[in-house]
Amino acid sequence: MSRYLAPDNLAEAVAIRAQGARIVAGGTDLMISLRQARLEGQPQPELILDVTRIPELNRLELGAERPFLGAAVTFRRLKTDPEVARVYPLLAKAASMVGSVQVRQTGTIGGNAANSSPAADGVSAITALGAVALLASPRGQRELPLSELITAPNKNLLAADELIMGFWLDRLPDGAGQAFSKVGRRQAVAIARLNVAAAIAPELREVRLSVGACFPSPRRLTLVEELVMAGQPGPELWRQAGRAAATNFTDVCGWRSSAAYKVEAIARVTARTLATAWAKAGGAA
Amino acid sequence: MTLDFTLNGQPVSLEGVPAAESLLDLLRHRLDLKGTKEGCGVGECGACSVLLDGKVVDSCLTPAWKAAGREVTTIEGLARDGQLHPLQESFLSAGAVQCGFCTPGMILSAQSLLSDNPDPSDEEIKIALAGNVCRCTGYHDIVLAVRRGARALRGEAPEADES
Amino acid sequence: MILGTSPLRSGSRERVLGDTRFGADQGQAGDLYLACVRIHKAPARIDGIDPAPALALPGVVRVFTAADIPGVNRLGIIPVSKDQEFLAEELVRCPGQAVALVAAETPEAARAGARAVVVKLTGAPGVYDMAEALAEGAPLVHPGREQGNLLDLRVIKNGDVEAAFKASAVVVEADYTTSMIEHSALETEGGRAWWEDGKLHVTACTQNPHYDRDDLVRFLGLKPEDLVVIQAETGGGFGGKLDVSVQPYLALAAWHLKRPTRLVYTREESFLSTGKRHPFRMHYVTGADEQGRLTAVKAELLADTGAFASYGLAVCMRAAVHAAGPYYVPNVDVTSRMAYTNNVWTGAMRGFGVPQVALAHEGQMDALADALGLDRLEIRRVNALRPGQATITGQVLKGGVGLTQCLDKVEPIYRTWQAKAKGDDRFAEGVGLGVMYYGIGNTGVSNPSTAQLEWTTDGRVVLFTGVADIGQGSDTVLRQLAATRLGVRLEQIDLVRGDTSRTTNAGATSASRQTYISGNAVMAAAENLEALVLGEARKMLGARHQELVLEDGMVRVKGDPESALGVTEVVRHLTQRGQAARGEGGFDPHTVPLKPDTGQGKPYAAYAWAAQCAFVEVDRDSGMVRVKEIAAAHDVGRAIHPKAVLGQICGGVMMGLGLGLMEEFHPGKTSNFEDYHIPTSADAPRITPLIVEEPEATGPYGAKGVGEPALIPTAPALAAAVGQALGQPMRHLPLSLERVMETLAGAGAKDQPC
Repeated sequence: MSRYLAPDNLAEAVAIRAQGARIVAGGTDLMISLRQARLEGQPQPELILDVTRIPELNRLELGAERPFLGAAVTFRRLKTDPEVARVYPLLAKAASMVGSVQVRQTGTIGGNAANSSPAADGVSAITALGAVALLASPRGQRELPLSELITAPNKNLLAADELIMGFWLDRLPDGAGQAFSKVGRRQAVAIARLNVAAAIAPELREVRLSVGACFPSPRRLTLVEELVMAGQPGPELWRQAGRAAATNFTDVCGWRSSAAYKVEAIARVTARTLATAWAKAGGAA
Repeated sequence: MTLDFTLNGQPVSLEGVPAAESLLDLLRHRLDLKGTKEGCGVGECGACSVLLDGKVVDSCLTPAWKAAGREVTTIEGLARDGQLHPLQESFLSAGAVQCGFCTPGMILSAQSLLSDNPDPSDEEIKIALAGNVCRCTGYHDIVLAVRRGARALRGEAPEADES
Repeated sequence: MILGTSPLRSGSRERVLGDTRFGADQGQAGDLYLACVRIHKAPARIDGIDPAPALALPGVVRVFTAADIPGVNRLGIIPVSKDQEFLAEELVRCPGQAVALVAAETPEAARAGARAVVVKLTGAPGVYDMAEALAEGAPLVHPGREQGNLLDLRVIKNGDVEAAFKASAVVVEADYTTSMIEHSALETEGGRAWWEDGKLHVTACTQNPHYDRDDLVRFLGLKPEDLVVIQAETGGGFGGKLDVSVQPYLALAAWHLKRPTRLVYTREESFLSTGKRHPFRMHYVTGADEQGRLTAVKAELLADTGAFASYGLAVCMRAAVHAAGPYYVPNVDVTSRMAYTNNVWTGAMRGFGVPQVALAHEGQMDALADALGLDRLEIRRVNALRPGQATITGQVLKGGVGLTQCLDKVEPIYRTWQAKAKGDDRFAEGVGLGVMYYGIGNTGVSNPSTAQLEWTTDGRVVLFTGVADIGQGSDTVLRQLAATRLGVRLEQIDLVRGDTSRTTNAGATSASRQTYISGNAVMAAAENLEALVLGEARKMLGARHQELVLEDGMVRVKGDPESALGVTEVVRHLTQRGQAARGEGGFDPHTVPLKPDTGQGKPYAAYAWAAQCAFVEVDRDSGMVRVKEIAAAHDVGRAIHPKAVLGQICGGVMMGLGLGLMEEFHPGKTSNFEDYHIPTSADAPRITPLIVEEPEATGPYGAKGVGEPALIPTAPALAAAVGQALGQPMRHLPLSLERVMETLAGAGAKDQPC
């Protein structure tokens, strides 16, 4: 008889995971893959570990010296929590654009990372915030930047006995402006064709940019960030940055006919998102 | 292991529910509650929407065991003592029901929205219901029904001009 | 008053309670479950099917192949083009075709059995492009077929287009394309079969129970009286539930095994194996004089029917008939061809080819207006068909022509939006128009309906109809017509619907025909019932020379308020003599078949008309289109149930929005709603539905139809609006991110981002 366990403490969860349990948080990705497996006649898991009742994974401590975002925090909470809106508005915006009300109700940021889709809105957002994943296993805890944890579409370095506890996030400089843009094939409940997260501190002291649904794994576009920091803020700089982001994309992914849209859209949406972030930082348009 | 939860106000206790079973399969096949519909099985259409502790979820994406110790409400549990829920009334009066396959999920989704936001604008309604696809109505009369149901739930008189 | 009011629709209370049992909800303990063995790569030759590994699995009861089909293994909704092998015999013609059927005690065992069946296949060369399919030497989808891959060729010819072009002030020429579309009814196909009283019973979601019965009878080699089809409550159809889907499998297994069977498609199986909307490629040349009056239209249409004909012949012809749009065109040359390919088959979908040609005829009107410097609405008004004018098939329209009234209704809205559409550095705005006409019922062929009404001794009236209500509301509309005609309250009318053992053929719920054709059949039945009742009352009253009237459940003698009889009294009198108080009625619209060489004739007895306008914004950064508003004016003749009419219009508009902006089915790739997006409520614009009532003399109380018309003008209006926003005509659907961005990027320096 298969078992579904939902422990209320980390130690027990780590022990269950070590027995080879499949992890479920919201279920919004896992249940799709279990259904697919069932239709294909693949075996169903014998042991499922529900991590949503573990206090550490529900921690949301954004005011701390080292802000922490628990893996089991739902998109609904990220969308509605006033502290998220104040500290990381780009994350609140990204969360509001994930899936449907139903998916946001149960879907979690940790699940978003573990599923490792290149189009994940939450992953793109916290990548810009410098997310470092905190992982737990019977061997102890370790930290790994999210951009290293996720290695390729739907592939990551999470060990078979590990679970994601949450993410350390960078504190952004005071007054930093933030923006998040998403492009999908319809107005809501769409997989991102492209998403862009940007944060800019006043006087260009710090610039953060991540572009999702374009690269095999999440990344900040550091070359573009440096270009912006060295420039004169204004439409011409945002345009240059957009073009540089598009070049970055073709450098990594090569030029295919399907890239024609992406190249144009990355350039334009990146420029727009940077302009919005700058305006929110109090900069002149 | 026993799966205990409250279903439409009644305690339910089930043995032998596999770990990987979805709440949708549990409701439709194990409990024969056919009011919850399956439209896609992958959380894209919302036909299987139910309330879990009052908030809408896709039952196809929800492990049945997540219901443990919680309250599940399906469309069958919305009317009480033969009295239609105000949203059921407003869906009827607004003509928001055509083929009716999306209707149970749509009504539950609307109920979840109104529990968060008792007085939503049309735009808020449209965003909140985006996880419930309807192919018949063009959503026009569904938005009207939700607005009307919201007024009724707030205890207000119907709008004079509703379209 | 019953007509023109909107009483609560039959069945809606059960629907809000979750009590309605759809096709997918059928089933009882002890049913056998079915699963199809489907082949994903085609074409392929079947070298052998070995069921042994499946039969060895626990719970698997039987594996069927084509050899087990006792009757004719050729299905398809049009009698002359039945070509679909429900279990492939020698050749798998398209991905998704089934080759075997597994019956088992549980769904898991059925699926496991389907996976275990060993099918030996040899790949064969295929053709997946409709133009390549018609080229010399293309692999044949149906080897040995005399016409090769050409399913059908239809022409409409009148006058001399070449001479007319020479004499025209302006001639515009352009290509247009539309995509393959999936109906995406929320309920996937499902049903159940069982034995009862020595007859095989099949219940499933369907748009056409009597056609299902006839096809199943052929399939199993039975007599019509041996098999009963009952329409299950149906969760949407849109044309997708006209052809049979699960029914032959349910019936075949239940017939062999003498046990109840159950089958519900997953969304993936529904996408994989059921028909789609035909993608079209269209080339148009259109001429006009200086005032914008159309001189000639030359249209070459090509559509992909996939591996099977389904409704292809009807779509090929209807597209041709409607190719020039709702305009007076003195010279036409339309060629409509449809090609077989090895793609998933295409069939009926809301509009039957007319939404596709509407994109082209409307694009041409805008191009003409622009070339001549005329107003886009005025050029439509100038050319709008009017009573006394002939359509391109030479049919002179007598009445029921409401296009200019529709244009009048949308004009103020259109002008207001045109003035408002400014846009800014980020969003470009545009407004577009689309108009259409649509022939009600099947094209140039008999398509009758029948109905019966019976007065019972307890004062109720039972309406017997074969009409499948799939959500559009025919149950209610037909009851409204009967109640009005018989002078009884709506609540007095009971309904027996969609059961082939108790009702007679009403034809399909398609071609927007049920209100007009089956409505007329109900009217005729009511007339006959009234005559029967009055005749009997006359005998009872001895009122031989007086005029009798039926009102409020009473038979009264005109001018003699004292003598009156309750109808139930009359009914009792009839039944005591062994005669039921029953009226039968039928209606078959008067049409004249189209001549094969010229396409001239009278394809339809009635036409619906519409004009829509759309207001959109285009995000210059992403290429995303958001529809802000749509106004839709529809001439429905007479709105029997206005709320249902408005519901059809709004629903049609949204389906048109999907066709216009986002829907694109890629055979072999698209699998579920994850990669096939249909519009959500967040995509819904503010819709202003407007009803125009230009009565149709032959319609029930003047009514025509609205189901398909609602969808047709939307995509053309959106294409025009986006085209205006971008300063470039948009002639290929959907208006995807990629297409819009390509246009934006092509605009180059004048459209810099930011």
